[in-house]
Amino acid sequence: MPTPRSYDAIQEGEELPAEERLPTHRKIMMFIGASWQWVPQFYEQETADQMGLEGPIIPGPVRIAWLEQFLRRWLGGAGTFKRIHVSHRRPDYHDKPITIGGHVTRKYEEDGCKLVDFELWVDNREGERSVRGSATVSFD
Amino acid sequence: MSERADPSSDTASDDADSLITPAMQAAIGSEGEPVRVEISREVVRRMAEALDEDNPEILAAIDGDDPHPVVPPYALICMISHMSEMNVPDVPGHGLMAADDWSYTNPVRVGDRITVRPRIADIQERIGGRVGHSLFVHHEWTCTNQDDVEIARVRRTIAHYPNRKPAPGS
Repeated sequence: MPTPRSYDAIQEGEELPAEERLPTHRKIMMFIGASWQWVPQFYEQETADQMGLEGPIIPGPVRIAWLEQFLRRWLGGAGTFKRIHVSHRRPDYHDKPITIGGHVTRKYEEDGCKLVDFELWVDNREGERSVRGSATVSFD
Repeated sequence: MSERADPSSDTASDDADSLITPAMQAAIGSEGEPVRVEISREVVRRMAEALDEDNPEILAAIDGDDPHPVVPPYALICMISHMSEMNVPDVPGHGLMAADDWSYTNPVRVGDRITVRPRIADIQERIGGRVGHSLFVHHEWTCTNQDDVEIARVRRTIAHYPNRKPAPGS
């Protein structure tokens, strides 16, 4: 089991080690089937063509889940997610590797809660930022 | 949000015409029928597998004896996302998620019966942006559990573009 990260040990400006992922077509289809998100641009080349896209795209909720998993892994099970915000800047595609990263932006106390803000991101294989995000985690 | 669309396909006259129709204007502030979803252990398990979940605590909770384990927030995101978006009259082309903002107020557990109350918060357009004339629909959802306890508030922005031919080289 990972060691839970304590609030006191977290430093403002601290970088979270980046992680690479390969969202395979098979896994994305598994996700679409499980969540029943049969949105054509997630799996259909013809719709992607109509939209001027390179191919079927990764569903937005998958990218939010990646950021959440990435941050939870770094936290080692500590903390409770209070908020997550994402801005989808450009699409990511099936079978194209991506990199997830982030850093600590702020530590503070509010209404008796110890809170930490993070900036999070996803980069595509060309190094372009496809998702910009942020999250707030509380430590009770 | 797509940046592959070819902005050169828009003409000046296209940009001059608002994409927001009277029907769309009337939809702003409207509330949809509540959407009800039960947090199913099997669906959470399948999503965890699709997402290559490797957190031992989450995996143990999903497969453990507790009939109502807490699930990761992404389970809620993934289970209610698509079915909670209200239809907006006259929106052009296909929609792409532009932004999502989730505030979690209480944990979600397997077996929870979630009610999502959706509304159209706002509709805006952008003329002459990087991807041409586009429309942004802001959805808001309030999620409560079977005890009427609020578990999350969500604001989702969907970007709509008129259908386009493939951009060169795509």
